[in-house]
Amino acid sequence: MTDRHQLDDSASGAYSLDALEGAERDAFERRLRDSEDLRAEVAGFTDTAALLAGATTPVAPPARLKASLFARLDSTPQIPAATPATDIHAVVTSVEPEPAAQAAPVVPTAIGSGQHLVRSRRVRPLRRRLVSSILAVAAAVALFAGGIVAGDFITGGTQSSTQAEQLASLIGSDDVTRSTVALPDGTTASLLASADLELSAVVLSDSPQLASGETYQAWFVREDGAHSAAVMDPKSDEKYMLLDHYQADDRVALTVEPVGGSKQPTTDPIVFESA
Amino acid sequence: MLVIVTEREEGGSAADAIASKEDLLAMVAAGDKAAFSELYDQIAPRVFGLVRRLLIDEAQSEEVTQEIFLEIWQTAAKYAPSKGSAMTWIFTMSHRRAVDRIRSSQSGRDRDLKIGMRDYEREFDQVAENVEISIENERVKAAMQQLTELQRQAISLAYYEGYSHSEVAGILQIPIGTVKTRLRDGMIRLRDAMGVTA
Repeated sequence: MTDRHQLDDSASGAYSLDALEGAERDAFERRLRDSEDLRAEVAGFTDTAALLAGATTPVAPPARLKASLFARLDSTPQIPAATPATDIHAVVTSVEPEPAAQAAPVVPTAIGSGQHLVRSRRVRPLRRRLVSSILAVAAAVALFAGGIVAGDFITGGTQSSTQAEQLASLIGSDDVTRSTVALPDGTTASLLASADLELSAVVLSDSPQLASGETYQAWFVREDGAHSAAVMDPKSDEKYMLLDHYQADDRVALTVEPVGGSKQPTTDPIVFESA
Repeated sequence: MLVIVTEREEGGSAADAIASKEDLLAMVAAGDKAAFSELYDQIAPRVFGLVRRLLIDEAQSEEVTQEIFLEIWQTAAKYAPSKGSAMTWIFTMSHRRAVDRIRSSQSGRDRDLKIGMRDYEREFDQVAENVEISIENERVKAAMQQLTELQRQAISLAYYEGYSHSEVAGILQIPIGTVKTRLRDGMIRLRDAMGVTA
């Protein structure tokens, strides 16, 4: 026990230099959450590492980089900057009248995308928190999927709020990774994954444009083969699937399958680059 | 809290007119594209320089640099001045993203091919040769000289080459536990030598 404890803490240097990988990085981050001393040490090391970064030779990037970056800004939604509470209230109260705010409930750790959202939830009764959670999901999903219109998620989504909250918690998790692939139907799919939460999600940029009777199925590709992780229901408007039981080393792949899914992949898999 | 002095000496009078990166980030968080443009102009060479040093490959470095700036645009609201300077936040994110790219299998293989048998020692010296370009290089160079040879090697391999601690252990032929200790002891020395107080 003591040895392991020592080892974990001694990884602070490696962690600050981004030299820890996968499960070990996750384990260290969990440890970091529990130890104020360790956080202070890592904060100092992070500042130190930034000085090392500052000592590298500056290189001007080509001008086209800025041009193409700015061309993407309009389709790249931002985390709202300190959203004024009144704005959210206006949205929420137009959905349903609320009783006066009650005593602050214990804040679950489910939503973490943007501190202002977490803060604002503290004083809201459950229903209101739920709606702002979904708003947070919408904003965050739009953010990660790069182009999904937020409104779709509020009005068009048929997935339960539990799933929405899970997605929100995934997006808000500290260790979330993201990778994107192009799908044959012209849409793109983003994989969000958190080993801490053992949860991942595939978010599509648009409704699948597949032939009738076809849908997307997600797989965990492990050493012993492909395991079905989720199947999209083409009858719903949903654009994401949650993949439970995600493990740090899992590769995730998509295949086109008959509606309802297959036991094993039957078409060429589209594999997400591992994080 | 550390405030990194990142600006080179480029004419003091103009400097007054330059908004701080912290202020610019706050404006970017509110969707201000002009502020984002100014921030980009101020820091893009720093970010690109770091990323290219790690990734070597020009095209991938451009890609990752663009991803980093998109992330800055998206998440500027998450930057908390109380936790450190804007440059620390940006460099930390940049290094992490570049290393993420290295660790993704295909890119890693490409990079290994490019690096070949490159001499990491000489690479560091190259940084040291550019010492006149900015003040913090002097600080870093002086601080690096406070390290033992082995601490310096381990930190350079991890930070400037993007190797994981297990890869560093393989390259230096020492146990992983020793690498960890060396990285931590080295970072403590660097931190103290550069007067960083968290």
